Amino acid sequence: MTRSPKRATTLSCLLPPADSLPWAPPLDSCDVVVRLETAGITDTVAQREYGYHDAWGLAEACFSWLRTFPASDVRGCRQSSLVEYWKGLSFALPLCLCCLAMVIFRFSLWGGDVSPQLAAAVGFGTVSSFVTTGGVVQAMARRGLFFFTVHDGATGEIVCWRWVPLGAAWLAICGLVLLAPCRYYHWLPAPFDWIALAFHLSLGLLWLATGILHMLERSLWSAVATVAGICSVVLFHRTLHVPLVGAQITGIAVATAFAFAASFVFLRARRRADGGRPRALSSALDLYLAWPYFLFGALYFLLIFADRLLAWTVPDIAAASPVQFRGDYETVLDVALIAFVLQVGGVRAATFTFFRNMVRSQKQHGISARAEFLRDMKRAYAKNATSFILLGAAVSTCLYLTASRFSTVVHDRGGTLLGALLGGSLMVIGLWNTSLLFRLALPVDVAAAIAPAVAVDLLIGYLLSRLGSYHYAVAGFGTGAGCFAALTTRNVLRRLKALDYYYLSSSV
Amino acid sequence: MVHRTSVLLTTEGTYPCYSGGVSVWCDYLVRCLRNIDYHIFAITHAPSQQPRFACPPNVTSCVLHPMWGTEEPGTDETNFSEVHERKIRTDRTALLRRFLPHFSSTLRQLFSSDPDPESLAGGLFGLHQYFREYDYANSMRSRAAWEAFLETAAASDISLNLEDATHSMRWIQRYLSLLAVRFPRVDLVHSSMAGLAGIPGVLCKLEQGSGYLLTEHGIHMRELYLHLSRSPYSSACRRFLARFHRAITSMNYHHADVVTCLGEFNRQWQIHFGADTNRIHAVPNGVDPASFRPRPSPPRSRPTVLTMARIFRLKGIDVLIRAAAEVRDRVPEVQFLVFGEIVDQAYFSQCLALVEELRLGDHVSFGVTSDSTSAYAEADVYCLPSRSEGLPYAVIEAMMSGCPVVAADVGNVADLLGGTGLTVTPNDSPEMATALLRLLSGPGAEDLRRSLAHQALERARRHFTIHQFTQRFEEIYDEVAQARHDAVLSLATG
Repeated sequence: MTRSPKRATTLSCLLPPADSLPWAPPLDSCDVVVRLETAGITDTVAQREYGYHDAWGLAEACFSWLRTFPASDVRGCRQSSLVEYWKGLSFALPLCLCCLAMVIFRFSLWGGDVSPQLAAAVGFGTVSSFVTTGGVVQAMARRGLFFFTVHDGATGEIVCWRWVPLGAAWLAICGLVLLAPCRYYHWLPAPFDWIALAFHLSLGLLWLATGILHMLERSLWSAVATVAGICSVVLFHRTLHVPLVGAQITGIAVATAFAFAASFVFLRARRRADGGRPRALSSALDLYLAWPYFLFGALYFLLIFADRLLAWTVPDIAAASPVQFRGDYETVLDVALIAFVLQVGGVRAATFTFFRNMVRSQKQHGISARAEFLRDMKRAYAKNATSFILLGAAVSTCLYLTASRFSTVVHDRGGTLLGALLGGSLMVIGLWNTSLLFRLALPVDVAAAIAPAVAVDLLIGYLLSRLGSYHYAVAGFGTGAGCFAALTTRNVLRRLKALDYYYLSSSV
Repeated sequence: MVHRTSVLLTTEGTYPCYSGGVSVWCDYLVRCLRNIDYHIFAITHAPSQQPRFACPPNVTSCVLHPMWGTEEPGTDETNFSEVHERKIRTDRTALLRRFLPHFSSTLRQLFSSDPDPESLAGGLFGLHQYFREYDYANSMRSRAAWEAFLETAAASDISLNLEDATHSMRWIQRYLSLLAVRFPRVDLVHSSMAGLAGIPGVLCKLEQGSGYLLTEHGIHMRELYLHLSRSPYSSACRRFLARFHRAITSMNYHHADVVTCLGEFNRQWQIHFGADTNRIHAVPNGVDPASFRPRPSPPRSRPTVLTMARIFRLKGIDVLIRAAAEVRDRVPEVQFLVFGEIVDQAYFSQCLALVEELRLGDHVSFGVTSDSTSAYAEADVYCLPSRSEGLPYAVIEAMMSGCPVVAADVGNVADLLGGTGLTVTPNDSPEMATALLRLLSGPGAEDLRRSLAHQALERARRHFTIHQFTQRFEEIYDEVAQARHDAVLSLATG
């Protein structure tokens, strides 16, 4: 027969503690014995003070009433979706600062109120820098993030610095490879081809540096680097009367140096905080794990910028060179970019909320209720996707009406703007899917979706811009983005059928 | 050529990467038994962990196996071409025909409330053989593995929800990663604990016929219960972890040729968890009498109480601080020195707050020392306030240094002291203060200190020298290796 401990009230050592530490009811009487012993209730004490033969006897008696106590509530860290939205938006801060500089000074860190040929050179260099470094930055960030997630700052730092020279070399190779046909076919007359190369190289290095800062969630420092760069351009161009291109290249160099210095400081701080020694790294493993991210990074920027390249290269007898910057087209796309940025901020927040809700739902569903869990998550996905569609429609409509009213250029190119807005909204859905698939460690699904999307973009954009007007290149972007959204949605829906499994296998 | 015995010494969270008693014990063992060729297999927390102990020349290999923080568990990430070949080989047919039968059988034992050690060992060995040819990460992360896990979990009496199941499967994916390791050919495996570090002992025994010696300092299951009682996991997860480790522990006890413990207290626990009483041998720890010996104590202005312990809750530093407040009231010039690495920063902060609350700033100080021998010489009393212990090295060192001991009566401490020190009820600060005051103030205090120190020294020199414990292990190695040799011979002769 079980009897109550003689002095049960004095066994407070077995009860939930007053401090905030987690506490759990005992699993069995062995568990109780251990707790008693560590509270000083040894066999002797159990015998002397509680009247039991030993601590095991006392534990047997205590177990039945202790198991009824609930486990103490362990609160997870509460993070706001709004904070996540801001983090998602913060990547665009340097871009906003550049726009602001353009309004104030009529030039920025790159670009400005310049001749069409110079604008074409700068534009060409800018686009090629994004496409070339996009893959490297993605691969570097994914590999680096893994090590930071597992608190291995030493290896994380090494990985980052290993990808930077690789990225620089890749940048130089691509730059030279692009320069050759540029010179041969006279796409850009000298010295504009060299100017394009200069922007390609300098901006590419800046993206590598800011990529590290974004990975470390130090986007504000990217903004500071941009401000430092803009200030340098103002100083060199306005005060020292250096030609704008020279001042801008210098400004980009300043921003790059600043961003690299900040990256160095933050990476070193992370390394110190985590401690430990760096592990041996395998380049083969790096490539095996990073290639889909690399492919995505490169193709993503190609998908974004392909229509511009197509628009700029539409044959024009009146143009001085085969590559012709299209100011009106660029203005419309810049307006659409605002809508895109506002929506992209939501991707991070939506991903964060989706997985937070998924864990909650997992807690509510037993193993036998797996089908219900999967159904709930499919509903949650559909709800999120609908929200993005509605958000896209709302932001696009507002922007379309506002911009058409205040800008004659935009008013005249309403169709182009609509195409760009639609494409942007579809891209956001694609990116939301990408974010989910990346979180589930399924980058191949994304790479497999973006490759045909780029092909569609190039094909449709090329045909329509050549058969009609250069403005029709935007249709390529719209259909490419639609293809990307559709294929990633299909892939996500396929994975949602076994979300519990993919979530498990995504763990590090 | 003389055959040198080869031993695979397996550790988990201790030697050579972490400080603490077990690490010191391993270091003594490999340094003193120079005629043994040691291979070290150490389970560490993360790949960034670096060795703290330099291995002597008779350590022929040292493999660190990180349990966490690797992207491809169970693979040698530096040799990726081989890994890639195995990945390609791991197709659906291999998973269904060669992996799943062993995995499912292992899972059934891990979930069982009454696991069969033979079946579990068979399942683990089958997986070990499988991972020689096929990829660990691709197999353990396969959908087939997850479905098998869910099926087994659903059939068990542990009601896991999907989140618990995810956690539990992730633990399995990590814990079993050592099944993919290729262990060296050795005469015997010496595991320093009954948990995961014991698995190589079972695998080598089944594969090579190696001997298997299991040494426990703390009791693995006991320490697990302590950890789980304050863990943030759900009841179902804790239940699964307890089942998992209990199954592994009982498998290790079942397969070990010899199980050693530090004393009677631990022996009782080992028997409770299924160890065969006939195979359990008590081998107490020992220290080097040349390093730890009575030294002329330097003149002291203040009575000094020394505690050498890593700082976390089980070491009971808070109990010591409360006792210090009572001692201070009677002996105002007393000082308490606590030397040890801070393991739990939050607990250390609580201790500092308690020191401030009790206005003990001038009486209690924390630090680390590289010269522990001098620290014992400079102390009047050594105090062990722990809530849980095996056979603490610090107490043996204090005894060998001629320092009188006041210790909480935990684990094997009372057996260790054998009446040559004062033992008090664990967690009882007033009783500890009374014992300390007996040695620090009053007319007979100095005589009592001297007498206890003398008796403790005699006892330590008689029972707890490094020579005695290493010699005992050498004998056990010979016994186990000989028994293995005889078994192989009898098999060969039919």
